Amino acid sequence: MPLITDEVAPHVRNALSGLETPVTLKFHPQPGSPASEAMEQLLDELTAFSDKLVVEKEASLPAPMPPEEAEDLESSITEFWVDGKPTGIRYLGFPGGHEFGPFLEAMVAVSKHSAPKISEATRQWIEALDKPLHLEVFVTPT
Amino acid sequence: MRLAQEIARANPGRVTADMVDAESFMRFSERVGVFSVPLTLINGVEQVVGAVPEPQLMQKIRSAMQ
Repeated sequence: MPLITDEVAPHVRNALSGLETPVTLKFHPQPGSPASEAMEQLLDELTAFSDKLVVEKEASLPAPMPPEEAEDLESSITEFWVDGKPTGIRYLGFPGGHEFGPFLEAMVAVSKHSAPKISEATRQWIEALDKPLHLEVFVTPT
Repeated sequence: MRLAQEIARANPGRVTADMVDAESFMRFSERVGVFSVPLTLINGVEQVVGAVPEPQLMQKIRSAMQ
């Protein structure tokens, strides 16, 4: 059964029509995780909507990024890459429910290289960072 | 989530913004004490509950990085 239903498909097609630079979704599966299986299926379906979307299936999970520990990585991790470089955006698990729209919007934003929608002061402060910053937003995909 | 991603886009070499599906990463969620979502964890040391505006999130980020 497809995850992207006939009802949703036009919205997905419309959203992804905004892609400019190709986006690579690096998918790190977690065998045995239902959300990982669902994410793999979703990514496969999405590639049918745009030739500017490429899915690369990796052999294993990436190393945990602190404060994550290896045992924490219970499901898949999907990274957004553009121009051969990471964008800093990752999805741990499945972007269901209210998270699906922002998932597509994020792809288009990195693809268009549009200016980040943050204040100038924040942009300057963030650009000047000389240490890693790891933001993890916990959500429930209902 | 969007705000975190916009911050990452400003410096992808230093910033990582993760959406964490709390139901699929239950051990991690419990370990860091996620009782309400959305919850933003900053470098594992600061937490922000709810969707907050940029100034409030940046205040927490600066605090976490001191």
